[in-house]
Amino acid sequence: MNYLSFEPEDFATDAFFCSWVLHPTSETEQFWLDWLRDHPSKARDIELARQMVLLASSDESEVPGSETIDRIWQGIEDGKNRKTIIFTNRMLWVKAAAAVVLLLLAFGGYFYRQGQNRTYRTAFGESRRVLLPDGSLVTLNANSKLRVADRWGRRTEREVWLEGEAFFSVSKLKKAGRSVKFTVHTHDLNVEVRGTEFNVNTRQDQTRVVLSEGLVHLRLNDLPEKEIRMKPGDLVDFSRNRKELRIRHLPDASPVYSWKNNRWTLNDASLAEIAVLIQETYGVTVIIEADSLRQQTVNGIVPTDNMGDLLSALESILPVTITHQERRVTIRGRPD
Amino acid sequence: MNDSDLWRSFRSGDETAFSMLYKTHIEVLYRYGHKLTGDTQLVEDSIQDMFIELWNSRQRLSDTDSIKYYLFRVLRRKITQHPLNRNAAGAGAELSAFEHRFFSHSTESELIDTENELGRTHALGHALTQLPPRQQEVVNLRYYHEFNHQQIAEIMNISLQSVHNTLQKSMKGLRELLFQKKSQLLG
Repeated sequence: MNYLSFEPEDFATDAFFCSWVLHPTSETEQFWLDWLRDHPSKARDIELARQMVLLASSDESEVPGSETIDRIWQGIEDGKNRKTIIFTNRMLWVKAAAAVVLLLLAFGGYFYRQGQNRTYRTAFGESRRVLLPDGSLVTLNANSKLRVADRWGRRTEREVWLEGEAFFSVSKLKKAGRSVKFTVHTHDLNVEVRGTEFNVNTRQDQTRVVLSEGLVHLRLNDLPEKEIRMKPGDLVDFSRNRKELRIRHLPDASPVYSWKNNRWTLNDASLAEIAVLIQETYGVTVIIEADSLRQQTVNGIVPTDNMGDLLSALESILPVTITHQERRVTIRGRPD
Repeated sequence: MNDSDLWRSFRSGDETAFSMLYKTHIEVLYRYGHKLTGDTQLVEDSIQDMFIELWNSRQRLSDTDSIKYYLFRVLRRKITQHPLNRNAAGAGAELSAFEHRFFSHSTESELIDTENELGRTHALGHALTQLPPRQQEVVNLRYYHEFNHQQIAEIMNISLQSVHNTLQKSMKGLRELLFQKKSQLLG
């Protein structure tokens, strides 16, 4: 397929492109990130096409309530020829037994692994996935630290402490019939959840929480009586030092945590903002030579698994020249 | 259990399979039904009739590897040809439901836009409803329900070529709408 001659609407109607946007797999991720790396000038078109597909895949129509579902079903039951229901499905029992065995195995492993107090760290330019004892998955962004409480199994609560940025995919856990809370502590607040997906970022003297799925409760440090309930797509910024609380709703929250798939999704991001991101992620100093450049905005998807690729992608999107020496990155305007 | 197995169990008279069939598809059928007509009663009746007929004629049905596709095809025919569907007569019958949704939404969406910060979600969501009705249906079937072109052609009883063309046109339209919304938001 020759994607080079594609317009945004051609991408948006391409089945392979759509499957990447709607149900990314490691194979499609690999393909499109490689393709973007080879053709950085298409970043803007790709992001536009991605937004078109996301928009096209939305559906605001009414969902039937459980009463409606039951009522229609009752009508069907009444209408069809009645027959007695006999449960002869032996497979059901086999499946149930298998599930119990799996559960036992899982909990065996769970108790076996308790009693470890661990801290996971990432260097600049590095990200890693951490599987917690309860099966929750944490993707730790560059230059971040995650401490996991010791003797987790005995506590009634699952607790971790975060500095930096991480995406949490928390699995539901029940003990003695009650669901066990999962808490992320940061300098500014506590994020309390049962089972859900969310992003936490403690850089820049504040904590930013973005919820992808499920429900989250925030408890602000110093203000323990204040509880904030978040819904999917909500973004909360709280700074204890500056005593600032901001809550917003994003139509599409996924760009916030696209870093976990080795890319940044930039929607009207200014070069100044991108410079801060680069500093935080790769541990370099970024200098933008002309002030007029700082407010220049960028739209597109850029690869981030190494800084070189990222910088050349930016060079092909913006009229700039970027040089990288030692730990210093300099961005200069380029005459058109 | 995959679709073929579930379908086969249902055809052999397995009531559990039948209720599974209903439970797993009722929501998408209900949503799609409401895209075809604004009449909730008509949607519910059509779904109910469809399932009763499926059960009663189960031994005569052929194999399928996509139950959803099968059900969508039947439901669309049922709704568009239903005697109580006031729009049933004449071409483009089912389109008016889309138009109805579009017009009733537009004033409401303006209110939402000015009322809160979440305006952008709604503004973009409503961009879809600004496409012509037939484009909306094709887009909904392709991107929300994720049918392939061939299936869409069969469900809507139109040619494969016209599915291609309609999708291409819809995406051009969406692109323009995205641009417009963006410049409005910035300006």
